[in-house]
Amino acid sequence: MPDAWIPPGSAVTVGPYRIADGMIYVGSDLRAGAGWGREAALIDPALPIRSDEPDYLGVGLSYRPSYSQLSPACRAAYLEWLAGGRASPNAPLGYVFLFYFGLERRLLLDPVSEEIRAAEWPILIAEIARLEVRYWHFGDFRHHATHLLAAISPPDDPDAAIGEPERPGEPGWPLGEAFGRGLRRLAASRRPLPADWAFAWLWSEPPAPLRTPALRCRAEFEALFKARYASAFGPGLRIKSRKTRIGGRYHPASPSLAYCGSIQTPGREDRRLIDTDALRAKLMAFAGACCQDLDAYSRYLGRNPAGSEYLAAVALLPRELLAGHPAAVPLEAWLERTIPGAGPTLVPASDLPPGFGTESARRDTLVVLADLAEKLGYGFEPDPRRTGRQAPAVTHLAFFRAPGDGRVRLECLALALSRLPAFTKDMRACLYSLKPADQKWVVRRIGTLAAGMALDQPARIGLMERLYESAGMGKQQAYRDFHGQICDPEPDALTTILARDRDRTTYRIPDPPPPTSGQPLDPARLARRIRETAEVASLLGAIFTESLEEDPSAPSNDAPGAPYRQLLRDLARADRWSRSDFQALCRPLGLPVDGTIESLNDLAFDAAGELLLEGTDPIFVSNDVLRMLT
Amino acid sequence: MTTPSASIKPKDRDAILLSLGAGIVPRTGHKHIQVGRTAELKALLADLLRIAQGGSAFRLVVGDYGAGKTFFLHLVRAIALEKKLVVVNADLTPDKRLQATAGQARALYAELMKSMATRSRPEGGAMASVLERFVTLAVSAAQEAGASPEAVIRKRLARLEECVGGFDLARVVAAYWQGFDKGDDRLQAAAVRWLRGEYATRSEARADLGVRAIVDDASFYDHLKLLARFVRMAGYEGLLVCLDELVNLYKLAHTQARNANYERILTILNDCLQGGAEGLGFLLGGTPEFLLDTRRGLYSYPALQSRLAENAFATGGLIDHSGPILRLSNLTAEDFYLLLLNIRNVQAGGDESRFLLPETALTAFLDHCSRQLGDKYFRTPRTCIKAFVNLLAVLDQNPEAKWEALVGTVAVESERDPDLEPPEGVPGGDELATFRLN
Repeated sequence: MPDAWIPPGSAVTVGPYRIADGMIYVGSDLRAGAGWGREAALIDPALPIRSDEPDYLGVGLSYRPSYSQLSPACRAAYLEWLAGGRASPNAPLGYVFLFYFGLERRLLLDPVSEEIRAAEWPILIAEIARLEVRYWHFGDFRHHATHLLAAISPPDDPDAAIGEPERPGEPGWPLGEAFGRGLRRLAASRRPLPADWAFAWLWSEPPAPLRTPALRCRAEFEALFKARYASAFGPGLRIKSRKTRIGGRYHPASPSLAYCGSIQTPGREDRRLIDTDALRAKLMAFAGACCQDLDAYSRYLGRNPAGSEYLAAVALLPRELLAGHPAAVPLEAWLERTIPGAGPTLVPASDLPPGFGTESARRDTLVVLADLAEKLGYGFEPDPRRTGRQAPAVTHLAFFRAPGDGRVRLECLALALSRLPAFTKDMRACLYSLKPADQKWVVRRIGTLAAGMALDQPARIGLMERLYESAGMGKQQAYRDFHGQICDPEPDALTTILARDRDRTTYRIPDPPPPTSGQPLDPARLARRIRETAEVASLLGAIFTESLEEDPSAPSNDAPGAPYRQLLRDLARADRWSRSDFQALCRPLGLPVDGTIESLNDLAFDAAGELLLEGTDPIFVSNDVLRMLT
Repeated sequence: MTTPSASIKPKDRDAILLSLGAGIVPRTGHKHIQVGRTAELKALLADLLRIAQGGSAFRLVVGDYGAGKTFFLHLVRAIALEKKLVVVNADLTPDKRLQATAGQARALYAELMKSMATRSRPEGGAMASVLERFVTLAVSAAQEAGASPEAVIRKRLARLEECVGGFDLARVVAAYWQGFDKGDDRLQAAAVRWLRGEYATRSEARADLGVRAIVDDASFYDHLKLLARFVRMAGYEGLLVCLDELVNLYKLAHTQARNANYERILTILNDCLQGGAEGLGFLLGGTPEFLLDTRRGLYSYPALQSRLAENAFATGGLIDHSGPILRLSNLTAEDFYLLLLNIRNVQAGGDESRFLLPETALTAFLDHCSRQLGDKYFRTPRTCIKAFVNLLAVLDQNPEAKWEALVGTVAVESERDPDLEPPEGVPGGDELATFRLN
């Protein structure tokens, strides 16, 4: 009997349950549409209800149930589900179908007037659409609902605006018909899927569970998802409709309508199935990547549930979320102020922003600083992350602006390490994190830099020895480089003065000069050397010939004494004397042979710049010199 | 290009070319081939002047293998001789060192005395000359004053007696005078032998000369100081001691022996810088590792470390040559080129018309060396210079030969730095890996 129908919006009370919005059959006598038996969807208030122990799980529920054949416990659970607005996600398929049977009967069997039809049908259609989404996971139900809707709902305009998507609730909680309609419109009109729609779809998509980072940090995930969506998919993903148009023959699900025949509807362009598989695959891969980048942050929050504003947590956020993050703004300002250019900037550890430090107790903060700086477009060496979280206890950090190419990084590392007073294990860790060729480059660079700073030189040499040995280059090379650098400093050697100047907190390192040409001789240096050589030649020339123009102020003890004058006269007799003959000349004068030769030669040198007597036996006399002496 | 000396004596020319052709540093004529190093030379000239004025000097010349330490030392030696200093020089070896207990220091002393050179005897062996010069001066003074030479000598020698070991030295010099006076050649020879540190036992010296002391390991430095005073009394300006190859101390495997030698260097350094020595200068030549190695080098000895550390303000191209360390920079390609120019000039006797090679040939030769030995060929100039001198010799003797054909064929052997080899008896150079039973 039509009287049993409770129209939408009318409340009815069955047992202890008040069902507020109708859309059910209540009564004691309603024949099934097939002609025999009772209508399956008919709720007979006279039947017992076991409201103290409802069977929420639907144990003993048949696949196509009938209210009259339900157990009292199932009836209680069913009525409770109805009273609860038919929304519980855990409701068994049987209850959903039981309700759906009633809607089917109303839509397909009951003869209604046009007025009633116009008033009721949209409500019933919307309800089916809602259930379709809500209980999407019941494939059989979904199939029936989709086809029923395709058969009876009025045509939709695919080009109509879609507006804002419904705000998704719990993950996997399906969104309403309006959302599904929006998706269908996008698909039909081949419009791209906007980011917020994509996120809403992903979030409410039940069969694809999202990973923990998305669930734990929903706001960050959503922001990251939307921030990256455009770069990943441009204006948006295209949703494809399946070829299948929904329509055709509809077979009612209700057993009470069995053998009533099926309803033939034409396939409708506006009711095509969406290709959710392709969409899901793309969005899940994208979401997976987002989750991965949020992993560290999520884990940190897992350990420190209240720490979302800590810098340590903020440092783990992906780059997109960091820009403008209130916790990172002061650091960004500091970096902007302190690091003027792309080249290395040396910053004393004591000048780091408050909260960061290189002392062993605060080394972890360096990792935070490295993470933050990297995401803000900066970098520094030694990078604590490369050395296995063993950030070296350095006195200076060398900052650079991204993108620092490999050379800038190495230069920075060398700069920072060259300021260390002694070798440490950390330093070796820093070196070993590099490729062998880079190790050698850095070590030599440190050598150059350290040699430029003569303060506490022995300690620096000790440092160099260990460094060179660590890089497998040998100590000898260290000494050579150190020595070479002191003698002939490279033009770009560091000459920073270590004294602290309160007004200046950083020191600009000049950019390295362009590599010199492969020309073998450097004209400037050659000219310098020629000048020096000329200078040294004249210096030496003056020394080796000065005896000719003797300094007049020198004490003049050069005049030959009386015995020498006699000897010189004797020597003039021959230009070659045997030693014994020479001795015979000297002895009467009381002069020793060698001392005499020495003295006479000395006189000769002063007077003529040459030796008078040469050889020991025989002794040759230079007559030219002799003439000058006598 | 350079300013060639007006003319180069054939004797100097041959000596230079022969030495260079044999791969060794010439003993004369440095002024003709020296390239650059003006500041360093000026610093040492100042040192020599100070010595001549009765002061003292200490320099450690540090240069890498092939930087020209030995050449520089020889040049300074030649200048010192010209400045009327007496110069003694020796290379340190494992058997000749500054501090030892088994005669090695005495052996070094003997080596030094054997090499004693003056301006008139630049080739060495001038001990007798110096002694007799002293005697001669005394005799002249005695004749002018009308006193007996013996009295004058005794009076002069009295000034030595106030020094450690001075009494014995005075007696030996007096013995020499007596030998001369009495025509006793044996006594004279014994005195010279004593002064040369060649007496191994005291009893022998006592029998020959009547002195109770000899030059031994412990008195090595005291005798050098005495000798410095003595040569000034003999009319010379002072004594310059040149010691090369100090790296041999670095190579001593025995830590205590090494440290004892470093301590001796410290003593000398302190003495010279504080003015404890009179008319005495030390010039030591060593390699960077000898200085810098913090485990085995001079820097391993803390007291030396602080004294030898670089002037903290002399960085980034600024230089300070007033410290005890004088660093010689490595040769550059430009230096090497100028050196070749100078050698060409020496070969031609300073006469431009006799140059055997144009300057383009020198560049070609540099290219050739660079190809044979690699980029840093000028760091080890010995073999290249040898090859160049040989090339000049061939061109000189075969006027028909063309340099273009010859330059490319010159074989230039690569050179190995002996200091890079592990120290003798120390496998792998690790002192912890070896031990010695004494």
